Amino acid sequence: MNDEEVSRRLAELAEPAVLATVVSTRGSTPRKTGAAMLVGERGVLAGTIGGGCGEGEVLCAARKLFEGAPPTVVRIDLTDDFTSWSPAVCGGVMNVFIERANPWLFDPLPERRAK
Amino acid sequence: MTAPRAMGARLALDVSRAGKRRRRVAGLVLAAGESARMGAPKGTLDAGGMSFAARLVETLAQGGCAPVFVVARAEGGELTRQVKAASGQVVVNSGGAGGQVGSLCAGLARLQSSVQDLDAVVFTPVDNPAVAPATVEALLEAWRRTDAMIVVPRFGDRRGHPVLADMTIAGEFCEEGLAEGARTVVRRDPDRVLEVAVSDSSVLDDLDTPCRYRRRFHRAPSAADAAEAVLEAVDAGLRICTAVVVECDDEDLVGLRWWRCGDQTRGTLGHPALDEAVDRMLPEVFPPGVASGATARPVQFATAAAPATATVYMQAHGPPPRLVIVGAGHVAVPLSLCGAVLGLRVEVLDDRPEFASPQRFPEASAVRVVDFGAPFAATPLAPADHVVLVTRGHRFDYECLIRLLRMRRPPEYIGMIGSRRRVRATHEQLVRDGFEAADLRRVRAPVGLDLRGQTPAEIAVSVAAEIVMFRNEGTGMSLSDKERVVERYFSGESKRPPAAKSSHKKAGST
Repeated sequence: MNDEEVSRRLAELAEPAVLATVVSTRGSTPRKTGAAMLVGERGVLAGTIGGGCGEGEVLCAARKLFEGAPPTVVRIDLTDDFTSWSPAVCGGVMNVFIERANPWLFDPLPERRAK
Repeated sequence: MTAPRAMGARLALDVSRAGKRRRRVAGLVLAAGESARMGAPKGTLDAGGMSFAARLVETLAQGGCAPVFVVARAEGGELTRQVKAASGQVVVNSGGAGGQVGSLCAGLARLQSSVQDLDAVVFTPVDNPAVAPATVEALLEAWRRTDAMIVVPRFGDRRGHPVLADMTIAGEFCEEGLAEGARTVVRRDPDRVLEVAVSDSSVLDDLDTPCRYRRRFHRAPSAADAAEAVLEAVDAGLRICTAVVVECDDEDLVGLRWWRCGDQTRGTLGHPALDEAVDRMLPEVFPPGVASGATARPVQFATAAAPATATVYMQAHGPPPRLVIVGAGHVAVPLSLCGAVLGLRVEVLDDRPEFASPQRFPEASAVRVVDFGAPFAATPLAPADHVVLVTRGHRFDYECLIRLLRMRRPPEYIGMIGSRRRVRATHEQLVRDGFEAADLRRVRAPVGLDLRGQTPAEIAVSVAAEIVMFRNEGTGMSLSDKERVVERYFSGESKRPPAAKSSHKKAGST
């Protein structure tokens, strides 16, 4: 349900952001396919893909997109041994697609200079 | 732009040449290629208001090169016109003979014969048109400071274009049998090459396919464009289906988008056959009755070269279902809040203007004063909508209810508040009015889950919980009772799990 909020925020956003979308899941995961999160240079701007360890991994991967990495699918494995008390013990796997949401704000085309 | 930085080159300063270092540098744009992968001549493609070739002519000139020549396959035509309009000159390398290095050689020969006292040339293929003038300036500046014969820009750990070559070595580009063209000359002697680190990623551009072109010039619809289209469609009550390539052997396709809303489509997944394949799948993936959904599917498509596969993430976005609250009294206030939190579009109806006021329901999308004789006149209901009848009297609830039950496609969730007696009385009246048992069963009355709630807020939570349960086809049970983890895994060992019906909640429960 917060995914409409992500769309609304993204449509009016004036800073570069990375969109993370859960594109497929297997087993038990905190959010299902379609969940989305908008990440700015200073952290999450809107939405969630479930919090905890998995979200941290996605934030790390999103950082690389600010540095020029291409869009990619991040596989988040939440099947840690639960006796480890890791937050990532939901038991499933999420595939999260990350991409530059508003590429023109990352990499503006050089303007034609007036002669 | 970053300041130029010398990388590793150890150059003996040649004092006799140092004075010449402010001399002439020409520009050379190599645009005689076939543009086979692009499918259209690259030189004349639009690069943000002007063509690739014209833009590079301006960029090289602004960066300090004069004159600037463009090597073309043929004289005349659109390319020549655009180059001349940008104050550049055209050199013909007929049919692009000898490939890119052949064109470089042809351009250098022409420069040597027509420009006096030329000391260096900055050359670039036509497919990185977004390079900034400051990047060109940085190359010239680095060359003037040092004795480098070749200066190349570096972004991250990769070398790009344009490249500056001192005219003293220009002849090397015209040698026979350069295995990798100009690169062979550049790599021949690392000691004469200077790398300049730049923050202009365009030096790495190699825009030789339509995908790369669209992406670089932001002609590919982005996630933000899609978000805008989705909101526009949904706010207009329409469904829109979006698709994005998330994995593909051809990495250039990853991130490309396409969507359909009614008869309209926009964008591309990078290949017409892929767009068509996805379009054909949509009715099966998201049947017309399905408002929203999301899935990633492998999609096969045929390219000219070979069959290919892409993983395409598809999403259908429909208008969010409504929660229509009939009766704007005590329960309606917290229920409206709950509905908004759940992402439902809340509408509140009452016949009393002092209750049906937007101030009481700031989160609602609509608050209407209606006649209970025709309460839904301004609210066309769909099966996916939810209606909760909480008017001040069961006579009004009943009037609204029969209108709902007589609809051709009534909402699937209809709830009505009331005690067992009051519900029974309403059902008896329905039967007297000719409704059948099947109609009676369509009404969730008393509305809500059994939380033993008393306050308006508790009742609202119980109704909202039932709506969530209905939407997700849940059971409404406590998850601890449903999963019975202790019974399942620990019952044989020490303690017996508590019986399903516990006796601990008699006192103090609400």
